[in-house]
This record gives sequence, structure tokens and C-alpha cells, in this order.
Amino acid sequence: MTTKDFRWLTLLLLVILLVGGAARAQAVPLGQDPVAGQQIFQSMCSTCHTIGKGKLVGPDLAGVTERADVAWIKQFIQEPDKMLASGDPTATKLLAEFNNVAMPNLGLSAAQVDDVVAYLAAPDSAKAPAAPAGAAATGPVAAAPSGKAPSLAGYAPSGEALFSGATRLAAGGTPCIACHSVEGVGLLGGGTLGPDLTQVHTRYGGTGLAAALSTLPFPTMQSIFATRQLTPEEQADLLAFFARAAQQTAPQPQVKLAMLLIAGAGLTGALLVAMLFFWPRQRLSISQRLRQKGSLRQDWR
Amino acid sequence: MNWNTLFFVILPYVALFIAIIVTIYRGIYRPFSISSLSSQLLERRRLFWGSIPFHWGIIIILTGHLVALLVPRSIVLWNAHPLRLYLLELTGVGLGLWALIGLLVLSWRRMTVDRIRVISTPMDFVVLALLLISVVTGLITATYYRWGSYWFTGIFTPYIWGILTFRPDAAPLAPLPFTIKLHVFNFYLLTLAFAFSRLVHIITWPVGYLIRPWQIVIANRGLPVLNEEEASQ
Repeated sequence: MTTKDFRWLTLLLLVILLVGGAARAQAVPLGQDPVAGQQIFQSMCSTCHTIGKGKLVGPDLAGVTERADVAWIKQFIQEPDKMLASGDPTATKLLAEFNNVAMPNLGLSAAQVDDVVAYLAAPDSAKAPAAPAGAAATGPVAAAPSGKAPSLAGYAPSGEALFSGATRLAAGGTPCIACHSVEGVGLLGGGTLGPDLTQVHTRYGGTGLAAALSTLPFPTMQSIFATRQLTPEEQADLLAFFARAAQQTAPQPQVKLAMLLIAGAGLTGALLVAMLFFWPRQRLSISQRLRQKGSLRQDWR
Repeated sequence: MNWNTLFFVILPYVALFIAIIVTIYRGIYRPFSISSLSSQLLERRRLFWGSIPFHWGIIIILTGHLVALLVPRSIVLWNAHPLRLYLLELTGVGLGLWALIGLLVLSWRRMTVDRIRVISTPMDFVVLALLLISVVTGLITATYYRWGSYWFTGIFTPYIWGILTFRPDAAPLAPLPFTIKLHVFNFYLLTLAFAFSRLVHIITWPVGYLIRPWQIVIANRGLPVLNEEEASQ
């Protein structure tokens, strides 16, 4: 077999594998199961929404399927970020009504959205067993939203230590500073993969933030924190820390980015300068040495 | 089935499978093609300013990725103090910029030096392009989506272990920004290209050097020549 045949064979193999994999994964379960919807609601939605227990961070969703068009609800749950970006009038009005806290994109599949909407349409129909086995798939079921601030009194300095990673999270979660910034923590600030949290206490309100800390329902965080929830003490300390932090203005990530880049470029420059000391140690080739000595025939130079 | 599964579950297995099988095939049937295809004899100055920064930069950064994969606890403990976190991160940015400069010098050399251009194959340019994407997206991730050394241990260490232990789960990658996904996807493209390009020279570590018997080297150069007659005899 020539090399050329061999390449084509490999390409063919690759295509077969890819198409095969794609075909296998076509079987998606159908949605509209209110029990499954309840589980998703409790783990993903209940930090910000209640059904008939009043507003939290977001609106009370009791009877929402009668108030709004079901197709609209489904589209909003599926892609709240795109819906808000498109300037949908209802979505824009809701955003203003709820302190400009935008609903995160939860990364639910179409079937999961159908489940949730089925549950919202008939919350009483889903009387799930106490410990549903299927809950593991969407993360542990959160405690029912109480709508009250936690009873534990947090200590802000402990919260700061948890935030910066000085104290490890009990369940082994990644410290907040990896992805989030809060003004006053660290010279170059916190991470920028996630949003800045300096003003988060103001945006979510104490109750809303406490609820959010209990399950951390944000899609990027779920993969880490679904199985590594914060302990009640950690939640209380972090809540106290965020309440204290909200008294400052948000940091300027661009300045910190510039500092990081300048420091990095400084290191690069130092490495390049260091290379200068190594160049003369590279041996010249024979032809170069002959050229330098001038003993190479003129027309060969 | 979605793009996430295709790119971050199926593609890595396809790429790894092809890389391993084809490298073994190439090692058996075309052993002398496993080479870095050095062009140092054709051009040395630009090679020095390109190859040294690129290779040292990329090797140290890859080692960092490997440490975060194999001993994530070491990174978490090191990062526990913000100042140490910043030191690690800015070292990464510095090395990344160094590697990027080297890569740009190498690309420029390959395109403008006639002697190098005539011996270049299309695959050499593919490899350069993939490496450029890799370094640039890595730098964007390290600066714009910081602090990568920290969140790598929470998101990518479990993901890569899932791939390596045949329990793949790409769900944690789905909500990540496009640049980070491109960085990962591009790595799998590099894995795919590995066995078909000069990238195979990565496996030519001179480990035999450590256990081979010693050799005697006698240098004649630089010895004084007594006189012309003696030298000619």
C-alpha cells in the first residue's frame, strides 16, 4: 500500500467513525415529564424562582403557563441570553423589573425544557418520591427554597479566605477567585472567566444571593459544584463577605489585564535578552568560517 | 448528539486512536521518516531565534498542563495565596509570548528563506498554522479568561481523566467560551496531524543516550602543526 492510499484510508476511517458516532446519539428521550421537570426545577431553578411562594431573584412562576405563551417560555428557558440580546419586549421589561439580574443560560436540552414547562403547567401533578434515583443525573436535589435569609451568621474575613482559596472549600470545590473578581482581593484581582462579584450582593439581594450560594445553579459552575456543594457555614461566610464587598465599586479588569500582559512581556523580553548570551556559542558552519576568513573563492560566496 | 459530544468526546478518541496506530505503523514501515527534518544546515540564525523560544516555551507550558492534570492538588496548594497564583500565571503568559514570537519567526523563516521554502511540504505549513492557533488561543485564555491554572483543575482535570479512563463527559465544556473550546478542539487536530507530520519527532527522545556505553572522542583540531613537511608526510 502506498502512502497516498494509506492517507485516504485513514480519512475514510475517520469519516466512518464520526458519522457512526453521530448516528448513535440520535436517540434523544422525549420531554414533557413533570416529575423529571420537578427535579430539574429544584436543582436549577428554585434558587431564583418559587411556585406560589413569592418573588426571589426572579419572578414567582405560579401559573406562568397561563400568563405567557408556552412557546415563548420554552424559548426563554432555552436561551435567555439570546432572547435578552434580541431586545424581546417582554424579556427586557422583566429584566428591568428584577434589578437587571439576567437569567443565566442553563444549558438545558429541548427535552429538559419541555419537562420543566410540563412541571410548571401542573406543579401538583408531580409528586415525586422522596429520594428520586434519577436526580443524580441533574445533580443533587436542592433543599426546597425557604425564601428566608439563612439563620447562620457569617463572618466576612472567613468568607474572604474561602473566596481567595486561603481556606479550602470543605467539599473540594474550586475557590471563587479562579473565575471571579471582587475588588480588594489580590493585586491582580480574581479571575475573569466568570462575572465580577463585587456588587453581586446588591444585584441579587441578600435572599437571592443566599439561595444562589446554596446550589450555584450556573452552567459553568454546575460541573464542579453539583457534587461539591458549599456547607451552610461556608455559604453564610461568603454571604457576609459579599455584603461587605458590595460597599466598594467594581474593579477595572482592563487595568489588571494590562498589568498581567506587561509583566508577561517583561519576562519574554528577559528571556530573549538571555538568549543573546547563547548565540555566540553556536558554532559557525564550515562555509561561514571560510567566508569570514576570506579564503572561499569569490564566486562561491 | 450535539457538536459538543462530537468535538470533545468522539474526536479525541478518533484522534488518539489514529495518532497511536499510524505512529506505530510509521515506526515499523518507515522508521527513517520519524525525524524532526532539521533544516539547521540550510539556515541557522533565524532558526536559533525561532526554534529555541518556541520549543522551550511550549515544552514548559505543556509540562504545566501535565502537572495540572497529574497532580492537580499541587497547583491548588500553590495557588492558595494570590501572589503565588499571579507568579504562576504571569510566567505562563511570558512563556506563551516567548513561544509565540518563536513561532512567528519560524513561520516567517519558512515562507521567506528560499532554501527553507523549497524543502517545505504542505504539512509543514498545516502544523505551523495549528500551532499558531494553539498558542494564540492559549494566550487569550490565559489573559482574557484568567485564571486558567486554577479553573483547569476544576473543569479540565476531571474531563481529561474521563477521556483517559473511558468515562467521557463533555458536559462541563459546553458552557465555556468559544476561544477555550477552540483551544481544546485545536489540540485534537494537532493530535490528528501528529502521525502524518514532522510532529512525530516528539517521540524521538534520546533516552538511549542515558544507558548507552561511553565513547572516546579524540580531537585533532587546534593542535599546533610543527612544519609543512611533517604535516604532509
